[in-house]
Formats: sequence, structure tokens, C-alpha cells
Amino acid sequence: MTSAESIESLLARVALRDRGAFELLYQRTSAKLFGVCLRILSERAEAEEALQEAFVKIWRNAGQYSQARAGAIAWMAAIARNQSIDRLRARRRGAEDIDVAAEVADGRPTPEAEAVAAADRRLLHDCLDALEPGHAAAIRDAYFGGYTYEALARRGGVPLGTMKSWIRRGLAKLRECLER
Amino acid sequence: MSDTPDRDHEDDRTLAGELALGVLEGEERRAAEARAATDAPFAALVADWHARFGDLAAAAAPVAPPVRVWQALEDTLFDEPRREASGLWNSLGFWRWLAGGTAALAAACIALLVVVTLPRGEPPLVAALQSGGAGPVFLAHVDAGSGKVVVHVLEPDRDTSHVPELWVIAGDGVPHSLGVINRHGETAIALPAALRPVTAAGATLAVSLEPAGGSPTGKPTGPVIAAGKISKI
Repeated sequence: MTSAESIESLLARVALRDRGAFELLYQRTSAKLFGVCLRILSERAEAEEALQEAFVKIWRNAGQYSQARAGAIAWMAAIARNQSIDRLRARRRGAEDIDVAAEVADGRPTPEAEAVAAADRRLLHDCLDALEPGHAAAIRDAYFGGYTYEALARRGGVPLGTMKSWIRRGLAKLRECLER
Repeated sequence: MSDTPDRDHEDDRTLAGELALGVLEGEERRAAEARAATDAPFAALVADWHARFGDLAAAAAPVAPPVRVWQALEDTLFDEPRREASGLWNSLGFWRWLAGGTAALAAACIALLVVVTLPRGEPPLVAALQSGGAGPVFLAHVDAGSGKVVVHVLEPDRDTSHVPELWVIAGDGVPHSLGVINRHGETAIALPAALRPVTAAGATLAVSLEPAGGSPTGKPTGPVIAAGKISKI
């Protein structure tokens, strides 16, 4: 039956407005995407909203997937991440204070959570792990916390220039490592 | 800045990574975005980073979402939207739904509950305030004698950043605030003298989500999460 159908193929059918395929896609991927939302948004109700928004986007933009260079799950996970980060930033704009930053820091991924699902694609993780811990942490913080250079520098208590060079060096190293 | 094409390419890749990671701000960010929009090789570098970071996101441990997320999705994508964040009061669909009068059925369900809690006398006025499809979310009874309306919350909204506010809408179609209500349990509200005559059978009670302290404008500003007509039982 359809249960063996690949995520890519489901996405292709969703692009043609196939509701059944969308439901299957949801069944197969919603837990993964909810994990992404929860990792970024510590509040569960908000993570649910972000998940819903992410799937609305997936329904509407499934046709764009073929242009993406990512695996299907990575493409969908990035959408869930972006929706969550949008919410996080909006919340932060509303309450520009330390408490929110602290709350976000608490919601950061644990190493265990990261180890769990790295089964299929672990390259970026391996490469992140090979970076200097401070650089890797800054990159994770930027990605999962939605922080800009300035915010990262403030949070880390380092000068802006230092934070920029950490991340730039980290990105360059990641690149090298990914191409190895 | 750089001396060799290789070096340039290296810088571009880092810049693309910075853009994908979202660390750039202001002019730097605008410039990079503008470049990604017009420079195909650079855009490809950005897409590549997005894909790589997507892998990172996808490494999150899976957690099964509650069923209501799928239900809400179905409502949003495949049905008429019922809980739009704005414009609901002006939406034809919303009023059509209100007029559809599913409240009568629910009112019958709560009759027993109200009858046992109210003193005998005038026939009680009740309203079952429902959301889009499911059962009643709030029950209200209006005690015309004492000029009070009591609202029971059956299904608390999970949005804790807002407060529910009760409105009465009479023949003129204009919502009048009856005040903020508790998120849980029940709330008794003394009706302002001006609103006593209109808070009667046939009028609609509705609950919207408002910022803490209630609507700042005197009109509903947030989504209407439930509504129902007042009727005699």
C-alpha cells in the first residue's frame, strides 16, 4: 500500500493538491516536525501553532520542493524551524527582556536529543562536533535561538567582532568538513 | 577584499552561510538578500546552506503532536476558516454560522444543569457558546432578576497569553463588552444598567480573546472563540 511511499513522492502528490497524500505526509512527519518546534519554542501551545503553520506552508509550497537541495525531511524541518523562529522573534520583539532570552536558553537542545535522530544524516552534526565548542555553540544558538550577531555577542558576553569571527570561522570549517 | 577567485568564493560561501543562519542584520542582511535574489550562483550557495541546516533541524527528537493540530489544519486548509485572527466580525461565513443556530441543541443539553442550579421563578435565559464545530465551550445564564450573567468555562482555551472577554450583540449588531471573564471555572458579571434590556432572549453572547486587561478599543480586537444565542428554556 501507500505506507511504503517515500516522503519525496508524497510531497510531489501534495504539490498536486492530493489531500490523501497530505494526510499521509502529516502522519509520517508531524512528530519529527513537532520535535523541531518544541526544541525552539519552549511553550507547547505555541509549538502546536507553529507546527500547524508549518504544515499550511508545506501544503501551499510543496511544489517548490523539487527546487530545494535538501532531503525532503530536511526541507520540511527547515520550514518548521523558520515558523518557530518567526514566533520566537515576534515574542521577543514584544517583550525585549532577559527573561525571554533565559527561557530560550533553557529550551535549547540537549546532546541526548541530538544523538537520537541523527541516524540518516549525521554529517553536519559530526562537523559541528569537530568545531571548537564555543564556535559550535554559537552556531547552534543562532540557528535554534534565532539570534543575530549582535544578540549572540550580548548573550555570550563577547565583543561583536569576536562573535563574528567565531561564526565565520565556524562556517568555513563546517564547509571544509562537509566537503571532505 | 580578496586577491584570488578562490578566496572570493570562500568568502561568498561564508556570507551565504551567515545569511542562511540568520545572523546578519540591517544593511548587511539587505545587501546579502538582494544578492541572493539576483545572483544565481550565490543563491545556490545559500540554498545549500539551508539544506545543511535543515538536516540539523531534522535531528530533533520526534514528539507526537496532539490530534487537535491535525483537526485545526483540516479546518484551516479544507473548510471555511472559522477562527481568523481578524475580520471575523465582518465575515459573512461567521454570521451565517451564528444564524445556523446549532446553539439550540446545546442549550437543551445544558437545561438540566441550569435548572438544578437556579432558583424557581422566571424562565431562565441561557446560551451555549460554541466554537467552530465541537460542543459548547462556554455556558452562560442570564438572571434578569438580579441583572447578572454567569459564565461557566467548559473548555479552557490553551492560549494563556490572552484573556477571554464576553460580549453581547443585540439587534443593532454592535458588540458591547460585558467584561473579561476567568479562564477557568465560572464568572459572575453584573450587567451594566444600559445593557440589561438588550441582554435578553435572541441576543448573541460571544467570547473573544483579548490582551490582558481586555480589549483596548472597546471593540473585539482578537479572534472570536465562541458564540451562541440567548434563549429561554
